[in-house]
Amino acid sequence: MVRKINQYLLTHYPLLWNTRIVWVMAINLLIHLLFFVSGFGSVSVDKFKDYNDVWEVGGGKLFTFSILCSLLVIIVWLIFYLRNNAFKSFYRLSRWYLVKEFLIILLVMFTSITYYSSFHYGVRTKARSITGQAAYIEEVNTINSALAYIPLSNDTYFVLNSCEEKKTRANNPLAQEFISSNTPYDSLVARSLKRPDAFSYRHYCNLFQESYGRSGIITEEEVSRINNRWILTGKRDSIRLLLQSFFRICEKYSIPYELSIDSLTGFVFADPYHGISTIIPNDEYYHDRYSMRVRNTRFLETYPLKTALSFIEECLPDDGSFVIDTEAFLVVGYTALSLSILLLAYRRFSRKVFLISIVGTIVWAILIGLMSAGSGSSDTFSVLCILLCLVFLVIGISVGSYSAKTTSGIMLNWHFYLAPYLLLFVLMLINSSYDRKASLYSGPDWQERFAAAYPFGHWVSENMEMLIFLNLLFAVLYTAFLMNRFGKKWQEMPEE
Amino acid sequence: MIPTFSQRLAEVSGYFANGDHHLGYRRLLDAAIETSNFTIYEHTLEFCNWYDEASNGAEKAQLTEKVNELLSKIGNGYTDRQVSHEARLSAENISKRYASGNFSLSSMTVKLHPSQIIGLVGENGNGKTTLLRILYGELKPDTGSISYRFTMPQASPYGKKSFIAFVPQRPSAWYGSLMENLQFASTYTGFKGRENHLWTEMIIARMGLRPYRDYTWGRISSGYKMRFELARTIITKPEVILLDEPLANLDMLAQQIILEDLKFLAQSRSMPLSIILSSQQLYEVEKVSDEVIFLQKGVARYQAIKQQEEDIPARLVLEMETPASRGQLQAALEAYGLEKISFNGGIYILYFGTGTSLSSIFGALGSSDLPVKYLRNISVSSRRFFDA
Repeated sequence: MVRKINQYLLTHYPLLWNTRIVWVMAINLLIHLLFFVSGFGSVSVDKFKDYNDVWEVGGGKLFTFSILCSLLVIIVWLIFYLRNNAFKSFYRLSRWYLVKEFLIILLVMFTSITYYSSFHYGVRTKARSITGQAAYIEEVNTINSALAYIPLSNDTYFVLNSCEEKKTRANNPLAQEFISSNTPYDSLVARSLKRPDAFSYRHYCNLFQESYGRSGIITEEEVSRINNRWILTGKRDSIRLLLQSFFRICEKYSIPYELSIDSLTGFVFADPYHGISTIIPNDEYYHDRYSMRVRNTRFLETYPLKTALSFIEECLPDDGSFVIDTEAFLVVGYTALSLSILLLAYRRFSRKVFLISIVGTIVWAILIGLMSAGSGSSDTFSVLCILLCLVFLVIGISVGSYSAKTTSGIMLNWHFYLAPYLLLFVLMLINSSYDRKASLYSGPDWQERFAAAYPFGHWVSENMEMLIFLNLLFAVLYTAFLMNRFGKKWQEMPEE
Repeated sequence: MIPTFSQRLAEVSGYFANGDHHLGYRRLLDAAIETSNFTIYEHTLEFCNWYDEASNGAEKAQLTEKVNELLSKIGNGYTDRQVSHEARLSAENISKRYASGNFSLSSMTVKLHPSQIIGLVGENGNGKTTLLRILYGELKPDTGSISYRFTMPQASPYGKKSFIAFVPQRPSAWYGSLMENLQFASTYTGFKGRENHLWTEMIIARMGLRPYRDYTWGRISSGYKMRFELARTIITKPEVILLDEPLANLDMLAQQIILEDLKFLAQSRSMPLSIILSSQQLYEVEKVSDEVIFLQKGVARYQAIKQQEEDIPARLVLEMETPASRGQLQAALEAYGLEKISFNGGIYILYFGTGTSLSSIFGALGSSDLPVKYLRNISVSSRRFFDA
């Protein structure tokens, strides 16, 4: 079967045969599947509380193993791929042959260095299968509402942190959003502390778990409104039911707690002002004055609850759309492109040119690093890289016309090693200049004034991720068309 | 003069009839390749299978019947095609001086026509490889110009290089099996699927590589490595082939076979090749070349079309191996116009004045009773330019 497919590819699609794309993609698919299954099996609902984010699942071992697998696959692939080179043999190639070859290299590199992402995708899929988007929103709403009846700190019940007070302060940019009751020297706080309802369930206006950009999550005002309505109308049963739901969630995620629904409900109505009489510790144990570890009679471990919710939040699609971790994608994208350019340099130029260009790159990279460090300015590195990239191109092309073939090849290789990052260096310069100017502005509306004064810098700063992504696409096209074209021209060039 | 196709078929039939099976077999394959007909290729490969298995024990009558049957099919499947006789490679007054200043190639003009073989001879370090690399476009000449004219005009130098093949003295290693590599080259030449298989098998059979199809680089001898290089070159249907010392490291028999193959390939009626071949095997190269260029210290000391040279009456120059002393030779041949003797310790080169005939020398040697181990007339061979 394998032999037949190989024979068919060899006699019909020699590029596919030479690049072994069918086999390497099949192997990559299998490895991605194994990583996915492994990720899917590595998390369970009771483990959600142990991970701050998806990247913690698997940890360093996952990355080490993923890199080893990548190296193994790439090395084995190269052993087969580098056996033949139709380009250097001057076989009759079709118009787009070289571009296609580069895109295949890029595809192989990209799929061979992203095994760990399938592991993470498996983790995310498992988490979503346990707590979907709708369930998560419902659970967050339950937790945010129920925690109004589980006083974990005085301050969230302090009259100055009620929704009305927060709303009043919202118009004052200098005012604090949250006021600590532990500042009696503040006259306002001191006055408020004298009130009989200084700390009351009715002032609760807080969200334990926020979720930006995800619709369906209730606001702190809504929490406050429902809370007040239930307290004022004596809806003990509603509070009981809410707390029951909350504890079911805690049990689902194995969150340690020791609380009684009756007690908690009783505390709400124990006082005519619905004052806070008991603070629930958020740790199971405390240390007494003899440093003995003592178990609290009542407690709720909020840290694991928060961790579990954050973990699910990260695993869910971003507001219903397919989630791509943009930053991780860009890092992988640029890495795959750089590796592909290195391989392309080997395929298009002579071994001698390739080796000298690699060694030379290490040398000038060290020199640039030293010069940048010596100058004390972060811009020096970018400026030097931009200049070198352009100088290499100019020398590479002009030297070519005088037939100094090796020099031309080395210069062109250096240019293409730097070219994908050219725009990034420019963006770094713009951004650093923008940041320097920003430090000159102050005042409540400084951001608006600054943005109006430097619209381009502001736009760059706001759209940095998009620009980096567009540059990646441009760099792929630039390499695919120009590096291949120059490589061909270089091969045509006489030696002396 | 290139024989007609029917004359060729008659030649093939004659080879088999006279018992020259090996030669007949190769010429039969040449004739089949000439047809560019894949059905003929299929029949030919069937014959090859039969020939490989049964030739040793086959009856002569059976072999003749099979050969004639195939020749008849080949004859019917062949359509004569007109091939331009314009020069494919013209290098006018090219010269080259290396930047290091160690060596320079003096101005020379080379014209290579379809079916023509130019032999490039000279001692080591006299500019043979430099000239070949210039003609291939690997080195830039300091003066002069080079133009190529192929059946399919190519705008870019890269495109041109796919019609002009350069086979270096030491071919680079290849990986994978011999068959795979040839099929890979064949696909890029435009042969897909079944055609690819048949075309590759035909060339493999023609180059005598059938038993080595699945062999890798490390498993085949130097001679077969060169045959593989030739097969890979021919499979891509180039129009010009530049061969740098292809006979080096080959035994005598392999040298003769390679040279014969080159001659046959060049004389193809439908796909005539133009070949420039550098070598130090003077006599062998001269046998197949239409033109010989003798390079000495970068200067074309001698460049002539063989036929023209043979027509010009030259003075007699002989190469001789004998245990006799210089004095004995001098004494025996002085009366026959002997002008100069060169000796390298084993071989004498004897230069005679105009008017001396070979038969008179034979007579003189016979009457003097000198022991002669070897004697060769090199009057029209470039060998006469080499020191003894």
